[in-house]
Amino acid sequence: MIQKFFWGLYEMFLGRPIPANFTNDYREVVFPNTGLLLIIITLAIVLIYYYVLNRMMSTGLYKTQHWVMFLVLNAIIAFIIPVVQVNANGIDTHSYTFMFAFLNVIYSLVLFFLFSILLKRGSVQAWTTPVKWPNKK
Amino acid sequence: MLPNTKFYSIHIALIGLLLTLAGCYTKQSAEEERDPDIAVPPQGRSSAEAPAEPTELQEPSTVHVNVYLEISNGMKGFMPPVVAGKAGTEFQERMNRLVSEVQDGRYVDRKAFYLAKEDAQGKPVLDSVSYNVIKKYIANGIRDDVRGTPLPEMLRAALQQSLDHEAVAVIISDFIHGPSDQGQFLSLDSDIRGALREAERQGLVVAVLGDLSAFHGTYHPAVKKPEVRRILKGEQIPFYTWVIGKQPDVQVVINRVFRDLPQQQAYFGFAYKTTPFSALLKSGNFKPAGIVYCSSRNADPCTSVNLQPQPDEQVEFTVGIDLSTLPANMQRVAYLKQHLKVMGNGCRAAMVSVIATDEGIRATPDLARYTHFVRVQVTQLTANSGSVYIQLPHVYPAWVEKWSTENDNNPIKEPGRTYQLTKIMDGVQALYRDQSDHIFNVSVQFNKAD
Amino acid sequence: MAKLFVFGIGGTGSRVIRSLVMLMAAGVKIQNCDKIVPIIIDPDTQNGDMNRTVELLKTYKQIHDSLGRRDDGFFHTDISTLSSIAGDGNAKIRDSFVYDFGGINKPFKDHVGYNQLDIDSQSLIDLLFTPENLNNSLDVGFRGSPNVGSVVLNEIIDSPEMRFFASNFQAGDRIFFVSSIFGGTGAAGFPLLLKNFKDSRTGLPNAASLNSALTGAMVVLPYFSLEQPAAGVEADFIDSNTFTTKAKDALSYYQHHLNGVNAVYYMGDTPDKPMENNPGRASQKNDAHLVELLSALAIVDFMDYSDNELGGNEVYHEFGLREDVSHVQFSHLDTETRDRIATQLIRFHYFERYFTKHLPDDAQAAYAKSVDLGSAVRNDQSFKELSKFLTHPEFGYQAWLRELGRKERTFAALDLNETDFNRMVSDKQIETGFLNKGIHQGAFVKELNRASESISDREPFKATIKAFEVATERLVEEKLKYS
Repeated sequence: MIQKFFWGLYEMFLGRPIPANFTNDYREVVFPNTGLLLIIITLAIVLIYYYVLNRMMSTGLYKTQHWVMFLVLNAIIAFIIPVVQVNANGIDTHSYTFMFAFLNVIYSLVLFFLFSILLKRGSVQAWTTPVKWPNKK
Repeated sequence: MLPNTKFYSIHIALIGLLLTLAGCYTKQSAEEERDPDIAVPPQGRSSAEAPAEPTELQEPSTVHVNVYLEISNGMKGFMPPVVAGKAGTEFQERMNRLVSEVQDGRYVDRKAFYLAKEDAQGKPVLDSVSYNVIKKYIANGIRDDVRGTPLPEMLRAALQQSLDHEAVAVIISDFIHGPSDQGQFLSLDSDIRGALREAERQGLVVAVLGDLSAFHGTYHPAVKKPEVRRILKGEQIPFYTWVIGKQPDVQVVINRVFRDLPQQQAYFGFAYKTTPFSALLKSGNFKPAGIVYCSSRNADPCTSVNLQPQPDEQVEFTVGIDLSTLPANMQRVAYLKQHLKVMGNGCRAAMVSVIATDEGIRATPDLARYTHFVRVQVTQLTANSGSVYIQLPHVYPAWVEKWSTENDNNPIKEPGRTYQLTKIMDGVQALYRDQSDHIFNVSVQFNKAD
Repeated sequence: MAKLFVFGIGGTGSRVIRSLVMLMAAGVKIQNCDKIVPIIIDPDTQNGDMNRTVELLKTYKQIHDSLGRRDDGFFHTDISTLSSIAGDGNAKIRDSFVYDFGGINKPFKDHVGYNQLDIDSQSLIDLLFTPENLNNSLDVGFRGSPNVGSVVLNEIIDSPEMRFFASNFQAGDRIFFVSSIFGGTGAAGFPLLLKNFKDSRTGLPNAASLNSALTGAMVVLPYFSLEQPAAGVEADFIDSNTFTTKAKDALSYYQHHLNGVNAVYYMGDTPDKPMENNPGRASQKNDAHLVELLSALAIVDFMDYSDNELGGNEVYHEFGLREDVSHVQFSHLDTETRDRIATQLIRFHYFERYFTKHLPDDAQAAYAKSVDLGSAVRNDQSFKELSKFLTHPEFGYQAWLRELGRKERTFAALDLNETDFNRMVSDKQIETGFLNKGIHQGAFVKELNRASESISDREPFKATIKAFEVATERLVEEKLKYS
């Protein structure tokens, strides 16, 4: 179920895995792992940004430029995960791998923004970062 | 303060990343292996070939062997008394090695040596002799005057005795049929079949090895015209070694005890129902082409694949097969190239190539299990699932025809022929005709890739 | 609820009220009343001191009105004009903090109709008033001449403003006078108004309430001197050498004739270097002085007493410092005084410093972004008023604090030139270290953001002021640890 979801999520844009002989490594391991890790890590970074750095610690990293820094950090991790996953599973690296990593970066941006919008409400210092919307207060 | 906290947070994130990377992966793969959806069992095989004989799988470490040496007058020419300074015949050398291996080789447990001859009533007699005695016979020749034994009877008697002893029967003879009744020539094939019927019933197999040797002495052709006998001085006359027994035992005998087999071999009743094989899809040595992947990620061996040939990209992949238990000449690449068949059920499939393993391939542990690698091409699917078969059919050995003659009266003019060898072989062939069509038949299941 | 009417008489009255407004802005609490009604009485309509106090009051009122009614915090005390207390909106008087003398721009001589008097009366007048008294135009004030003031001011009792005041005076309201004893207007005005309010036969409405009203007075003794004009120069001037003499005379008068005051506060200082001698008009714009700030505290003190406490005998208060120092810090004030104003002023100072120096950089901070502070500061009238209140070169907080630091005896508790929050309070500096940076911009934003989170009001001005109140309170409490 979860596998199917991530498999669809990535193949929607990437097409079937190349080289094809690692299709089920991608579908059963790499896609779900990458997707889950992406969600977990993005969530963790968003939580760290909003709740640790801008609530518990109040570090002053509340500006949009700081948020962008973490967005980029997350994007870099999002690029590394697929590459690591592919190598860890003994899959031959192919330009597909990097398209996959690139797509994961795109997803990381979307997800980071989404989590930010959903979770920033609970931050004391940065609940208006990156945008005030949709919180009214 | 500020840069510090930032620094830490990145570290924490990285540590978290590493932890999750490790954790996630193991969990994931553990899950996969249990996932019933993914792990497609090799369906076809399990249902059709489930009652596979377990004996076939593992060759026994030792076997019991009964050696029967025909010592009729017709055999005397193969075993002239050895004179110092003059080499023995090929027959003598081969037999000497054979009995020596049987006597002292590590693969033979119980052994017995018999001299096959005929008693006064024309019945076959099997005299149990010691190793030394048979050795002496081989080296010094046959002194007794023994008439030629009718083939079927001798085979029947030797087979029966070996069955009783649970031993592999090794029968050495020139297989020149000398029946008292000439009408028996007509029914030679069915007589042979009848004589070996018990072997087929008991699930035994027959291997026939044909060889040539110089012949010094009186030659007794089956066709008595124009000459009843001829004196030959070193002409090449065929002799045969028949090995009858359970398939694994026979394999031990021909592959380990005999070694160094003659080119002429014929096998009857051999079948390998559980030939180990695997579609090799992730091996660096054999990269597949096109859309093809193992149905189950962790399947080892991989017996089921998902594939989908595209108009511009056909599917090719390699199947590793372990043919190490097959008789040596069947393992030859040339033989396999000639006889191996790849067939598709639900797809169009063809064989691209077949190669034998080599040092380089053996260096890869996963590939060391296989002796041969068959490259298979699938060009089109005609159904959403089916099988690709790699088969080695039973082939009637071509040499039999060449070695056979309808008139063996003049071996000087036409050396290396045996009277009605085809008919003898036909008899054996008929015996196993209704068994499996293939020496082995490997079927790789496939599903259309989604 | 009860009101406090503060009569600021003369230039000194204006200046004390100026300091009072600063204390109110800082959030110093006035007990037992919910509204202060300052009434500045000064015939010198051009008086610089008065005019800037009036501007300050107007600005304060705008800010207070924007913020609405609150029980504490910056600008929480309601300071109203006389006309606005009617509540029915029918006041027929000018809406101003200043009593309107209606243009008495003629000489005193004409005012009393000297030329129409018979000769005996003229002689009496000549006896009581000098020729300068008679010839000077009244619109510059009474120039330190109480004899003139007492005549002119007597007339204001019958003015519509006074009647309006009286008719809106309610039982429980209190009256406080601020005046100097050595000037013209103040020295004359205070006893005169007092006498009229406390006279049971007064013609004013609500006489009974007025008669029994709790009344306090701040009498400012001489605390400055004026330059003498150079020899031979014929110039209008106030002779500060007469200050002491006049103060003595007035005090002896007060001793016997000051009836109906419940509490009198005295305050004075040894005059230091003379100030520029400007007898009136716009040029009379003296620097704010510590004495005025302390005098304003008298009002706070007066209101601290409950009705019962004030009901007994008259009480007299004098002010003293712990030490005779020229740079007065909070620690030099008596504990009671310090507790009353120190933290409030520090908080307000932090607020002012941050608001003017750092707020423009905070567009992205949550507290600012949440109310779109950037555009509010640019466009919102309230913020403009606030900015005026803090930074106006004439009457703003910065100017006031700067002026307080100029005199010989300076108010040096808060350093306007210090940009480091950790060193702004002279008698309490924040120890900083590697891990503790004290109060810096980041810490301030953090507190502002934290504060803004709990603020439900989304009106930018209210929310921002509230955020600063909460933030400065926490900073003073947790970082400065001032007590």
